[in-house]
Amino acid sequence: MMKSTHGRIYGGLALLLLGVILIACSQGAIHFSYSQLCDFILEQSGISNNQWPALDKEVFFQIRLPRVLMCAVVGAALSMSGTLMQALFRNPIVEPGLIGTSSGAALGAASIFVLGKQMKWVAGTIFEPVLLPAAAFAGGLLATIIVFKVSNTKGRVIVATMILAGVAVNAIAASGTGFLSYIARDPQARSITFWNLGTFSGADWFGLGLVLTATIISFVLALRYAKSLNALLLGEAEALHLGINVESLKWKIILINTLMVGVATAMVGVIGFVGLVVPHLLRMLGGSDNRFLLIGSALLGAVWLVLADLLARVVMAPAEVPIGIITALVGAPVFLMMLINQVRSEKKGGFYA
Amino acid sequence: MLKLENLRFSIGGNEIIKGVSGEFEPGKLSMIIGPNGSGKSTLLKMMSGTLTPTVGTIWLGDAALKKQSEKKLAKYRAVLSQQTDMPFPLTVEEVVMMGRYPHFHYKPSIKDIEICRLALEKLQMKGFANRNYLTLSGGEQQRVHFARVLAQIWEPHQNELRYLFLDEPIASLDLGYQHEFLKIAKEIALENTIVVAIIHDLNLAMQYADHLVALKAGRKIVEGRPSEALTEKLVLDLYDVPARIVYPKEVDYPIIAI
Repeated sequence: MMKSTHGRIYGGLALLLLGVILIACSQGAIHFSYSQLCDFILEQSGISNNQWPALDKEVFFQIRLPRVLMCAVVGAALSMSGTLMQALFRNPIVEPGLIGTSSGAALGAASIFVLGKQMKWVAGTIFEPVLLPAAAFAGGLLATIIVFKVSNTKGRVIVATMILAGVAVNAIAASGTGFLSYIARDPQARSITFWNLGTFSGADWFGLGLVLTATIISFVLALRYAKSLNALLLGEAEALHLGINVESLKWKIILINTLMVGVATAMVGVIGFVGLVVPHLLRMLGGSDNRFLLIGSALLGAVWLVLADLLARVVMAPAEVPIGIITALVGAPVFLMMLINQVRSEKKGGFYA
Repeated sequence: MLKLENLRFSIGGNEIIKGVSGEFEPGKLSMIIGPNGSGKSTLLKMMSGTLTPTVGTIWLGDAALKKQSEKKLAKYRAVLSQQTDMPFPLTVEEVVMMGRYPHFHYKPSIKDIEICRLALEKLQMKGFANRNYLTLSGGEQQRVHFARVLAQIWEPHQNELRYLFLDEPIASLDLGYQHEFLKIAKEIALENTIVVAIIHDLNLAMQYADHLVALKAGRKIVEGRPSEALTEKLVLDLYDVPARIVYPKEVDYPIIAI
């Protein structure tokens, strides 16, 4: 695709992101008008004083804004993860939920939810705040490696094996998480149940800072490997002939991916199909260059999850629908459609993954 | 110079290559022939570094192949596979540009872009630059990949010899493009490049090869100029097919009639 088209797509997506963030900031259990949002920002930056009640401000800055921004960052992370995994598996239907990254991270995080209190040695140390994301990272990494190793033989990923390996690893992780919620005391169990479908209701500035840091680091690193990932689209042998150290590339990509997904999952739970839908839309818009897909995923992924969370907050207001239900409702049919396409083209003999 | 020193390759207890030695020179289009399962692809994959020989050494220039970094090799050695499956929509231009990846870090230079354009032009694919690769026919896709490997070694890198390995490159091409392809391969060989191709069509080998290597059951049984090496006896020996070699007045190379 032409580079100028890509530039225009980035511009359009950035504007769209700004727009949906504004809408998402204004709508919800408490409604803020746009002029009120303006006043908040002006006052926060010390330009003016205004007459809005302190409670409104508190709700906006401590609850609404971090939540909306968290959605944007997690959406970006999950979509970029989808892009990376699709390049690694050389298959457009891969996403972190399918290959176990999310559920592995969920198991890691759930074990800290339930057992963390007993690990008294970390309490009060610098390890305490990063324990949860670290456990999620470890769980996600292990699950991803198992699925990748099982489905990848001689540099080729067999789709059926990959999906079955994903099913198996997801089942193991789910039974682990289920067991933990069974032995957990009631409030912990409830939080695990909620969090298995994803929730942004607990978003705060500290969590946002953590996810944002992990996502930015991963984004910058991933962009460096965009060219190598493009070459990998040709196959492992071809990438090798283009001078790429394929083995080391694969490990780096798995690590970068798990960093993003692990930290995001630790904070907001399991949210499926974002990493599938977003890169798919982008490919239809502007082709498969991984640099374009990564930048585009960061923007469109943010837009998509901010919108999904907005829906989750307003459809049954004042109650909240778990966001995972909304993303799956849209994502699962897209997944099915892509799977059907892939099976059809495999029959023609032209397509393997 | 490309030198093979007593190469052996085994997989799962089967020895596929049973001690092959030989030399390939720049300026000559070298071709490997042999029946199915004779080890042609395995031998070529060892030369191109995809497979590591169980025993033996491959010399590229003065250094053993296994001592050279893939990153550096990619600047003067290109490999075209029999078939390349790519599941994602990319433009033809983007695929050809991958050939230039070893030569730039982040952004292609104007020279890289120009080389891609010339490579496409050479394959008569000028109008295809913005086409979606996935919508092309098998033969067109193969030509795109040939343009890609040509772009990769378009010009000499620091006075290194260039190497081009072609694994049954013309199987999916029509008659016209088969000849076009081999003419280009021969042209590149003449620009101080070592070109080694696997080929099945003995008449094309007779017409285009400068140097022929015949493999049977993992052993090299004959090599030399095709007009001397490629005999009725060799065809019988390799393929178990009685053949006649005729010398028509109208062309200056013999024809193999089966």
